[in-house]
Amino acid sequence: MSQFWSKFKRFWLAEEIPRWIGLPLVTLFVAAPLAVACLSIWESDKTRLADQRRVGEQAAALLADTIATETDSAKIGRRLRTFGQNFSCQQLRVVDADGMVTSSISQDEVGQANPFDPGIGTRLPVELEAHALARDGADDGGAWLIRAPIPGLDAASHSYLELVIGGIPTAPFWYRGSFWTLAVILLSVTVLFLLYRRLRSHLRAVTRIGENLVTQSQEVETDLAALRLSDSMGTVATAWNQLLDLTAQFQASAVRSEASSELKRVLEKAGGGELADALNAVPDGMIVLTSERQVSYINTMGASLLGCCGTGLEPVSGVNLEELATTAIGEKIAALACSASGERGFTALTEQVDDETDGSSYRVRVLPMEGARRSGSCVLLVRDISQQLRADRAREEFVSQVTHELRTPLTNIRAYAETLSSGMFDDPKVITECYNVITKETRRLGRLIEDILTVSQLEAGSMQLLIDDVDVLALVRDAVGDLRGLAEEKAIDLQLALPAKLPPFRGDRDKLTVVINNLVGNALKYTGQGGEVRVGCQAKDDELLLTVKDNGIGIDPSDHERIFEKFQRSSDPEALKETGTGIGLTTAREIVSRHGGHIEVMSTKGEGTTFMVTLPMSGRQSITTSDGSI
Amino acid sequence: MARILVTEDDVHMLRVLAMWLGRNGHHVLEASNGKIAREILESESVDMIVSDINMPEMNGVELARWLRGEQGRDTPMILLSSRCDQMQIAEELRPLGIAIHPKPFSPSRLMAQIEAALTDRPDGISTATVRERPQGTAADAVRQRIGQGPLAHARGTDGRAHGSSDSRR
Repeated sequence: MSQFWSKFKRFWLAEEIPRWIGLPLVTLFVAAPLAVACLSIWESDKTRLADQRRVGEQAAALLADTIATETDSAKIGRRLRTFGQNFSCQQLRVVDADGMVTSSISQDEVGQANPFDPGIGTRLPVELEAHALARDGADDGGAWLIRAPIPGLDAASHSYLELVIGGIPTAPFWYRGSFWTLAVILLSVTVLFLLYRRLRSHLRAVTRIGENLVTQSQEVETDLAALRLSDSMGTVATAWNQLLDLTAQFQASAVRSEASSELKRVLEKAGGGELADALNAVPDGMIVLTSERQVSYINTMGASLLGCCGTGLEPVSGVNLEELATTAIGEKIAALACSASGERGFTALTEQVDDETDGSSYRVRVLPMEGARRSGSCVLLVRDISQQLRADRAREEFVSQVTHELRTPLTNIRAYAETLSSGMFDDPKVITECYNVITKETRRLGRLIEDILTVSQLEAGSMQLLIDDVDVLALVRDAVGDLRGLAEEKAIDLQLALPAKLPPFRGDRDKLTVVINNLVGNALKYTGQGGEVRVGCQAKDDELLLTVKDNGIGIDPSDHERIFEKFQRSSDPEALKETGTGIGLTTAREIVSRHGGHIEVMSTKGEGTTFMVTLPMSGRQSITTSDGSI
Repeated sequence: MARILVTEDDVHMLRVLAMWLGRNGHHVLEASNGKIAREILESESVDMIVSDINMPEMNGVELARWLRGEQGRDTPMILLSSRCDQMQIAEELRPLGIAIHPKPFSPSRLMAQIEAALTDRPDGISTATVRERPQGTAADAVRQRIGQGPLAHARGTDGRAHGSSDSRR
């Protein structure tokens, strides 16, 4: 009870009154006019009824006078009926002194021809009379029983006229104006109370925000989450929450800005802007960590790897490394750096970290800083080694392929040589075959070695051409002749389309042989059984055109550049079924380029390939003559 | 005489192997890749398989897995390989009882290994990669690996292995 009283006092009487005074005020201004309107209706209703009664009494007196002078009961009946119609009487009767009804008409009989009902001559029921008397003079909106003495008819009998006029005698409670007045007031108060409750929740939220702001303004950080409102409170709450989000972003930006200022201060201390620029220009990520895993310095690449730089590549420092990392690779680097810290500080380690999102790889080195081992500070160096790993893999693949390619002719040479030397096979045909295979495989081996040598010269940048007059027709015939055996194995129709005569060409015979071998060798390799390979050569407009055309598996347009790259092969699974080193076309293009020419490839997947070599007849090549002079 | 299937995509190697095996009195079935070999094995019965690893269509390792797995056959098999990763492949094929003979090789030593494998059936031979030894025959080397002494009938000054037909199935 005391709690309720204190609450009541606080709410209605104490300091909170000004805050909540709005409710009674609103009630007053909204409900009061409604109540007044209802009361006015009620009052006008009462006036109307009183007027009706007064007029009824006067009319009844007149009617009584009329009846007194009338002896014809039919006429009396008509008058009663007319009167009843005019004054909307519910009941109209003539009663004698004994209470006997001598003439009567009810409201339903007003319009009937014979107004006298069977009630004439009967006594008015006691209940009805009592009821009518009790209601006599009632002013609550019901009906009135009006009695008017009929003068002169019979002074001793005291007959009188009774009539009931006004509203329905048994009108229900909702017919009363008072009911509607109360109903309107209650409804208004209810609606206002609901509105008030809703308004109060908003006011409370705003009050809470205000209190939190006052409290938190004294703290280091403002917990914006405590200021959030429930979204169910409507669009205003949503807008407020969005404002809080914006504030949080500004807050974070401010923290970063502060950290950036700290970084600048560290850099200035470390050697000024030039050193910072130099470290930012390094393509490796560099992060300096304290023993508490705080970033005391990070260069631009390091920040980029951790994903903590903005659009302006503005690095940050002074925060925890694990918190700073937002990218997948950044989190791995941070975890590695943290794992390197022990009880006695950081220990040196080098590990490879892979980024599964883009397939890149990084070498992360964690190095204790000189003189700072005890304090646990260290520097992280992060280098992108993706390219290096790709090159290593390509080289390993190349070595593997070259080994395989070298072993194959070597195996044949050894096997056939032992066949000869074993003395077990004395058939001259077999002996001849052995010699032929050994010769052929030796040349194949020589070509491979030439390819490898060319690649090594390309890599060393030391490839030179020994320029001399070259009989191109003889060169093409010899080179293609070496590959006829391979064509015969696959029943490929290897055709030469050569002119009768060509002018001498200045070039490197051995290197050009490599070009033809590689192009024709590829054509035979990637053409199926029973296919066709055509090798053509012609001089045109001071240019030597060499074409190698096949109807093999073809090359996808997306691979047209790739196949000329060192150690790279077509990505077509069909092509990868054949062994290859990925250097044949690289060396061919390099050799042709050194002769001042170029190679074009025209191919449709599944239909075949044409390689076209264009060489200038007049030397534009970087020349080393056969005697070694340039 | 044993029926030996030789699978090799290099025609010269196929030819020389066929010559040596024929000279040793075996009947040789030839296939230029694993797919053709599989077709032959589905219709023919052979005592021994000698196969290259790198071949188009179906390579030697796939052929070996098909033979041991899908077919469930324990036919002795020797794979010839010039690959750099042949030691790794040898480890993979060890449970299947299949040996790898590295290229380049001496035909006489390969013949010795084949004879040893045929002689040792059904127990099989060592699944380790066979390295050529400067002394003794390959058959001796194989036998020493599996803990047996050299075969008297398999010795020869020229390195040839003369497998006893009595010992064959």
